[in-house]
Amino acid sequence: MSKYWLPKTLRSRRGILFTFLTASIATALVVGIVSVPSLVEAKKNKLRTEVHPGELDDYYGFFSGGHSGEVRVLGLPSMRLLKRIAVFNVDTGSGWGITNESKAMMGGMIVGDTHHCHGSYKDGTYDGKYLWVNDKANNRLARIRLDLMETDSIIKIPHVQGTHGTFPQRYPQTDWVVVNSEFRTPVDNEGKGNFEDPSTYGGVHTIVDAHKMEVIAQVIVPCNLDLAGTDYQGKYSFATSYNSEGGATISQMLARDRDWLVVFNWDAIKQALKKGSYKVVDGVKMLDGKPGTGLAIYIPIPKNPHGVNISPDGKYAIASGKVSPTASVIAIDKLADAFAGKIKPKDCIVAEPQIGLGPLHTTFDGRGNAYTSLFIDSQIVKWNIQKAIDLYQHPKEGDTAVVDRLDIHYQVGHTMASMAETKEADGKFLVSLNKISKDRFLNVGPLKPENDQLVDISGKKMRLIEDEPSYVEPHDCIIVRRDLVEPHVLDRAVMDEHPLAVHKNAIERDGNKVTVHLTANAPVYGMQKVEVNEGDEVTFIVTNHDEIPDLSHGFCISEYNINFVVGPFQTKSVTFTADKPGMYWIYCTNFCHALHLEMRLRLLVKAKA
Amino acid sequence: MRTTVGSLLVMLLGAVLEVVPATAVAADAKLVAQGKEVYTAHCVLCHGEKGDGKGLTGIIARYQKHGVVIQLYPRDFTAGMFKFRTTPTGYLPTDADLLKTVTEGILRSGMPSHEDVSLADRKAVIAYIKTFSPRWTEEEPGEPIKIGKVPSYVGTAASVKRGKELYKKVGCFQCHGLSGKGDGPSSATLKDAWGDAILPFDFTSGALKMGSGPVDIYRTFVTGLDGTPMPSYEESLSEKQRWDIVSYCLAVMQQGKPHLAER
Repeated sequence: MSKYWLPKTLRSRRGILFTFLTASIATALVVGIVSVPSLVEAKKNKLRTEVHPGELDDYYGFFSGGHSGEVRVLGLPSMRLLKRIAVFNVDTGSGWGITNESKAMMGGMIVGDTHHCHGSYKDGTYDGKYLWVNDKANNRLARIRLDLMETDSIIKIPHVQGTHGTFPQRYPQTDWVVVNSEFRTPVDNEGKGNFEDPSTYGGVHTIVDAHKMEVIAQVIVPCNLDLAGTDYQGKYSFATSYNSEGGATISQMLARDRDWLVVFNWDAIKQALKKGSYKVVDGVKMLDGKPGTGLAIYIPIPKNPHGVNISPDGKYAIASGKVSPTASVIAIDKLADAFAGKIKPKDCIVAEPQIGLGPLHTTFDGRGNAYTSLFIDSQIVKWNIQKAIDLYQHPKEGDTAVVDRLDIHYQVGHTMASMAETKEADGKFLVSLNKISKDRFLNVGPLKPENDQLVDISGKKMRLIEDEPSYVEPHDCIIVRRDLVEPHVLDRAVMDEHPLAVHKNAIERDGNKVTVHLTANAPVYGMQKVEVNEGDEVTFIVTNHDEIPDLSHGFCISEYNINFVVGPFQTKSVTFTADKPGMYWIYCTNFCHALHLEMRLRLLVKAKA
Repeated sequence: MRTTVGSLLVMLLGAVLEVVPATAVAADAKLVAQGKEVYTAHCVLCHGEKGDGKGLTGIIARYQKHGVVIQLYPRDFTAGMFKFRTTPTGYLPTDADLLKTVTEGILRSGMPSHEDVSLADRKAVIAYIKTFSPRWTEEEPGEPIKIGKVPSYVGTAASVKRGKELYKKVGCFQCHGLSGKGDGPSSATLKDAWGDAILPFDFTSGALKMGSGPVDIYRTFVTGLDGTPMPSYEESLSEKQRWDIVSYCLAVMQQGKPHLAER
């Protein structure tokens, strides 16, 4: 109920307001205005936490897959796993890492470590087109197109190791994606010269063109850069640094009581690029962002900080202390003065509430509350941002900004509320991505699942709804309203988007190179026999001509270690050397038709004379 | 269309009187018997024992659009109507037409290639398929239409422009939509000759069933697709106008996919 329909004199006078409301409700009850149906209505509007068979979820959850190298799509609130999107990993189920298309993107690497998966934005909320995810292991950035929910681009981030915090521009739309390097590394990492000396290493904030998937520039800084965030005005990006010391050992990294929140000024970066104030290294424009250059400011915050998250109103960047039991609240509207030298970077801090042990990441409900994960305490702590700011200005003995605490199971890393990384944070659900499940599930041996817990945050108190075991290891997720994604998702690909889409079954031979253009159409492939010679380099291009939703075909070549799946109207290809003479059945692995078992063809490899 | 309606009537009468499909047309009863064996081995699962397209696994697609549930069945041979022909609209296809379909199959449908079946068996099954409709005893197949060389102006900007105007003027967009996506104003209301809901083809979606080249598209404009609402433009458009619409269709199909033009 908005207070603005009240007479002006009653606004902000809580006592009077309360009396007035109580009187109104009592009167309403007496005269029968508040009827039984309206109470039923209130109950109906209760948060839906169960999704019955045949019903669909209200949110898409996009979860990173850690060192599995993939990204997962869940439905919320059911927490049902809907899809695993192969990104940096080989997946024999879909054929990712086996097809020519995926191998061209993967560049020979099969290990990936995905941490942060974020969507493309328009005007501060998701536009439902893309996701980006980092690879910490082999230093890459991947883009997933949401119409197909498949990876469509992977690029190498040069000059870095520990490619970690990743965040797209939020306003006016995603043109840039920033990527942090968590490990300081020699820029010219060729094992020559003084590369043992950590003081020569740099941390790098990489700016990627979101459309072209190309590195625009890299900003080198003297510290490491951990998590990333962007503001809601297209002006700044943020990075926590837990190694302001520039140490190479754990004791060196823990030396200082305050490390940094580094803020990058996008206008200054654009100016520097325009003026040519950069060095070109391996074809990449590299800018110097050390203190004093005006490209970045370094806000001293305690201690070995980890996450940085921006409040949905765009006002605050909140960094978590990790080794300090505090969160640091930075007022974004003060940053311009800090860049201009009118105030010191530390003057941008407007609160440092004590919230609990091991604070890592913060998320939001859009009602002024922050929810921070506490790794050591195994808790989610709910605290009020404005109250924390008030108490920072006027400390009051025994008073706290903390509103509620919820025990989770156990050792939470990231936490994310529904739509919390947008201006449309709706304060309904929160996921606690716990690193340890211990005794929460049937024992499955020493390597146990992680535990992603769903929490109802729609009320004053947090309420644990369910536990969901997950395979290694979702670090982070976003929870996106269904209506922002679903209209963009296709049942079938656009056939001719693939330059090799098969319109006619054919075999072409060019010397010892054989190309087979093959359709798949339940329950047959376009040819039932293909003859090649031992030693031929054979390429199969397979287009699924079935337009029925969910009618995918597999393509497995027996004994040749090849399998992939093509969805409706998709084309995929594979190239191999026919080094085993004999007859080999090629068959459909993805159940497609009553005659699925008959959907096969013979590959005849004629032995060398 | 008169022929079509007539043959439907005959078919209906035939069904009422429980007339056994005439086999007189088959010069050689032995050939028909051989064809029946081939049909039972290769075709019956989809096209059905009665040749009505209602075989056990025959439904090609079932989906919902504009609230209409659309089901696609394999060809119903009892009507003697065929989409993919070289003959003018209303005419039966030639044996060569049927042999092409049987041999090559139809893209984007469940109809597979039967190159693995001997030519003699393929010819026999065509003789058998003809026993399902009395049309084959009453009519002769048409003469294949003649398509000359693709004129050099096909694909030029001027031809595309003219084709676009015609596409609107002739009413192609009514069914296929201005962007060729099959979403024109009347797309939700179309019925085929059997009274079933049918969707106009989305020719931006990929391969066309009978080939995606200019001659293939041109042929469809002349023959029409009998049994569907796609008419023949043999009489209502000049040859040049048809080639201009071919230009426009190719441009729509290739939009944003420059690699297609190189084929």
